[in-house]
Amino acid sequence: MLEIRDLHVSYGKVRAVQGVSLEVGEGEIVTLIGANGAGKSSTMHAVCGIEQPSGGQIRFLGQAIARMPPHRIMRRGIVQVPEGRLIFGGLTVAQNLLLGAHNVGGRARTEADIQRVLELFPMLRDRLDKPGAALSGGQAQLLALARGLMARPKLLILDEPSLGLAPIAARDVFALIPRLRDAGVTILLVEQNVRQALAIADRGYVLESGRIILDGGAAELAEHELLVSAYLGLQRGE
Amino acid sequence: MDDIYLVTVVSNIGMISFIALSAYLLLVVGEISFGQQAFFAVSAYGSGIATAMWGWPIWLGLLWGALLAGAAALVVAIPTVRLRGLYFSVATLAFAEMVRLIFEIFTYQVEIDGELVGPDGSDGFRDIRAIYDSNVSAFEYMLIIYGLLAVVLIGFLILERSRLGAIFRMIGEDPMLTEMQGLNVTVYKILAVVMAGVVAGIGGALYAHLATYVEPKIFNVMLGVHALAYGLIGGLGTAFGPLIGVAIDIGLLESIRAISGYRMIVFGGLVALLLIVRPRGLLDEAAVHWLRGRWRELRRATH
Repeated sequence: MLEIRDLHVSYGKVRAVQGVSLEVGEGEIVTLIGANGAGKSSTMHAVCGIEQPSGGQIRFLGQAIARMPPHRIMRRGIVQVPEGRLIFGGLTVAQNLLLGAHNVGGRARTEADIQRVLELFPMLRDRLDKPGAALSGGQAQLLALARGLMARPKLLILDEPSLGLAPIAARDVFALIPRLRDAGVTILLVEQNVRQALAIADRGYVLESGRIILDGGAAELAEHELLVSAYLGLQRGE
Repeated sequence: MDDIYLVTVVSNIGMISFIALSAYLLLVVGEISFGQQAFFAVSAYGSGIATAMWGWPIWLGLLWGALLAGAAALVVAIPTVRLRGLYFSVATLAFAEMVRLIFEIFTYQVEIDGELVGPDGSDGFRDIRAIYDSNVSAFEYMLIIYGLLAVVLIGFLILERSRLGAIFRMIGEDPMLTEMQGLNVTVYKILAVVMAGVVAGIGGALYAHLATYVEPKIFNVMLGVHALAYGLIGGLGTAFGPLIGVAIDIGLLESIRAISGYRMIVFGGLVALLLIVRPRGLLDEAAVHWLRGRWRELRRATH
């Protein structure tokens, strides 16, 4: 579904991504893991068109999408739920949801989508009239996910959805991701929270200093010696 | 006499409200324009030329002025909307000063009944007499101003409940995240600048015909700064915000004689104070949301 070949992204002289190649197949949950500054967000920004790659190819459903403007990439079915900047605080929860759906079209269809999304996110139902700014961090993250779904994505990119959340809220978010896949969405999950990401993913890639240093099935990666020592450390066997 | 004074002040509040709404619309999309006076000026001159020199009826002159202002805004918007923040502000200021300087040298006169009529550079443009020639009284003209203001305000209120209005607010909050929702931010911003130009233009055309005389120095940067300040004082949560700002400045400050000599000092202080304690004005988004909630409860209680 998504193929990245030899991607390079540079900021001036800083080479953030140096030859990353990865693939996401339809119906998969693939996770991209790595420490701060490893190049995860730069890779995602290139996929979404926010950052111009300095080299390499990005293909989605067989078509080259590198260097397209973000709104056109989004219309092809790639929706990113970005890190940190989540929702529009000045708009109500309902407006946030509706605006996710703006390119789906049709009032009846949108209404049905809202009901469908609210079934996955029941906690939003009685907050529809509240301004986005009134939500807690965890609720805002869930709203951002829900808004992403309203756009009927083929591929949903989640950029560090657990970042800054309390452990319980993070657990809620991770519990939801497989259900999104069950609803027919392919997911690319960018995470620092290695253990939880691998627990729900099918496959994973490990990024370090702008390069993929490891890839494989999630279970296999979770046992990999390099990953255990570098990221999971003492967590193993807890 | 007092009545005429009152009618003039109230008419002024109405006309300035258009440029305040114009600046407000751009504040909603997250841009600060120091140049809305340019569109006010383009329309003041354009509509004056149409009625006084070409003999067009006044309503057509107003329409023409507003469209001309919208066209000027489109010309400004295309190269500038990709600029962010300070750069956009400086570009709008530069454009407005350019327009003012062009009117300083712009001369286009024709002889009507033995007299030269038309813009004459820095000497201005006299005898824009359409409303007096058609026997519209000052009071009636005030009603026309407020009629048009009501139409524009209703337009704003409809806009704010619409998808387009929500998109404008999204862009104001976070243009990058808006782009990620699949929206072409550049196109929406151009649309906002053009709409704001038209709104300022309606005010400019009304102004030219009430004053019967315009000159370039009226349209200096202070007019644009006031227009911005009205939204910042009154609030950016609703289109009523800038109108409250205008009412506070012209209605309240100007009418209190004791501070007449210090009006600008009081006004400037008020803007500074509000920017510190309430950066998005009296009626900010949270206040508007709260008021809507109370209104809904009230309606539920009375039904």
